[in-house]
Amino acid sequence: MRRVGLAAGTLLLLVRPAAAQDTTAVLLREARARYEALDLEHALPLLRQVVSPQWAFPLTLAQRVEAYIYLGAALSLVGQPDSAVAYFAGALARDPFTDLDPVQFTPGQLLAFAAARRSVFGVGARPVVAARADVRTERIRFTVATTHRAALEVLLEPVGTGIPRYRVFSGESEGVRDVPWDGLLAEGRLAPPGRYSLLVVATSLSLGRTDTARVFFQAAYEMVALEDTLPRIPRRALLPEYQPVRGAGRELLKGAGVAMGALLASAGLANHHLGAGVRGGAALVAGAGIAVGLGGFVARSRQRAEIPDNVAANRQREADRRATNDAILRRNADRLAQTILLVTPAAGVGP
Amino acid sequence: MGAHRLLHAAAALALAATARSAPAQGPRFAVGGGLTLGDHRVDMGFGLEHSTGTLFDLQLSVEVNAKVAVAVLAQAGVLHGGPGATLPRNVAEAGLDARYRPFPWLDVEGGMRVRSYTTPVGRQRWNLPHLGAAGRVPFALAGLEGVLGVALHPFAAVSGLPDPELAVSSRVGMQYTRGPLTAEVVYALDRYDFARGTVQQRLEQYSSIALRLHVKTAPPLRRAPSPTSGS
Repeated sequence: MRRVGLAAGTLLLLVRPAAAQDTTAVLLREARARYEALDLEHALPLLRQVVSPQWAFPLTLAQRVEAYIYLGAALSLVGQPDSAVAYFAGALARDPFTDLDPVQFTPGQLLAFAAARRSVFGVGARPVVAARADVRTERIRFTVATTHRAALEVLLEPVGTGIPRYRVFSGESEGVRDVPWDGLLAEGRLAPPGRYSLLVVATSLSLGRTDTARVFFQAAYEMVALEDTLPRIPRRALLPEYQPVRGAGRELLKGAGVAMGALLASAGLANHHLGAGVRGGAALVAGAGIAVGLGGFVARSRQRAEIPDNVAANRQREADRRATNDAILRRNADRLAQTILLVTPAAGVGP
Repeated sequence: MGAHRLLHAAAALALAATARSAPAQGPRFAVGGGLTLGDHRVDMGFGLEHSTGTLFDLQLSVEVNAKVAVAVLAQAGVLHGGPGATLPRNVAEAGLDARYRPFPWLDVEGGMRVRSYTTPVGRQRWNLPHLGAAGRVPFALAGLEGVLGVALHPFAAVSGLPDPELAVSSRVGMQYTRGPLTAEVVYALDRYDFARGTVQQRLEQYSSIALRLHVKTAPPLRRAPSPTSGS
């Protein structure tokens, strides 16, 4: 009767409509203060109230675990070790990261907590801490825990990509463990940006039970500024490499010269009194000369002569451009190699 | 006699040129032949005699070096009488030509031709020493050349006739050389005027169009002098 009155009084004092969440925290603080003052008679009812199903105020998992811890510790002090183990087990079942500080708790309490560890099996994974890591030299760290010795597997699973799971750790573990990750997936491929699930699977070596925990995180690359390569040099920006070949007109003149020579030989040199002789022969040679001259004219007109200095200058420019681009590509490759992986916690938890 | 002196002088000139320009390569031989369509016209004051025919020729030449060449040639055929001509004429010609090439585009030519016109009633012999020059015009197509030549026959002598007052010949042709083969088409015209302006005037002209093919041998390989040969 006295306990109920005390609790009700405390509630009347502490409960305020505007701070319903604070109510649990205030009550827990009061209970802890009384526990530390070894006023266990008052501390235990307060703690029981918090974990009671009738407790109408919000209670976080951490508050519940804290209440179980202090309940277990108080019961251990009042000589109820089995109950203490049960509460400790409740705390461990809800949060496998739960542990007792040997400085603050008595050996008896630690023994009861150890017994609770052996009696319950659970596995947990801390939410991924936001991190920025150069994956060449640094590691992303995940923190997982098992309540007691277990075969542990830590798996990374890209969500919705179809990429198979990648085992980050596999082995025996007990308690809290840091699992480093180098940012790589299977076959040494860098983990692509996206949402990931960290799946922790553990099988108790003593109880044979299996438990899992899952947390999600988001991976992204820190974008690096890359240099653009130089574009191809436009033709209009290059020096002309060819020029028309001279001498096309000369070919015409040569052909005309042969034709004129044939006509001169047949008509000019011939005796007009006797006639021209084989005039068709002269016409044949003259026609051949004209035809060859015309052909030479056309051929020469189509020919283009290379301008060696300009060709060399253009080639040098192109070589310079290639060398510059090669250097840019090397620098870009170096920057890309310095991939900075950004990891941030993502919403969602799972068993 | 004058013709013989000219021939000797031409031969001496050719030998001197050959000796002075020591050949960088050995002699090359060429053999050629062709078909000539000839047209012979003569007017002795009784009207124009005109005859035409086909002649065949053969030529053997030696390129002593890049500048000097000597050739022996022969030609024969029949000129059939046309208007004004009554009898066919057998034509035969033999010659020795020498060529000196001071520039790639210029040939200085000289030589001796002996020609005969034979009919059933007689034979006429022509001695035609000649000296001339020929220009060579290379075209854009490698191996294709135009050839324009003119020659004088200052010591021409014809049996039974006085020496001609004008004896000149010209030729124009196209020549294409590919490898050892050379093909050419040449138009030529020879003009001889005897005793112009007199009652004995005789005007004679021979023109032709010829198609010829020459095959040249490769230059002989020269052995490199052995290291001990000079010592």
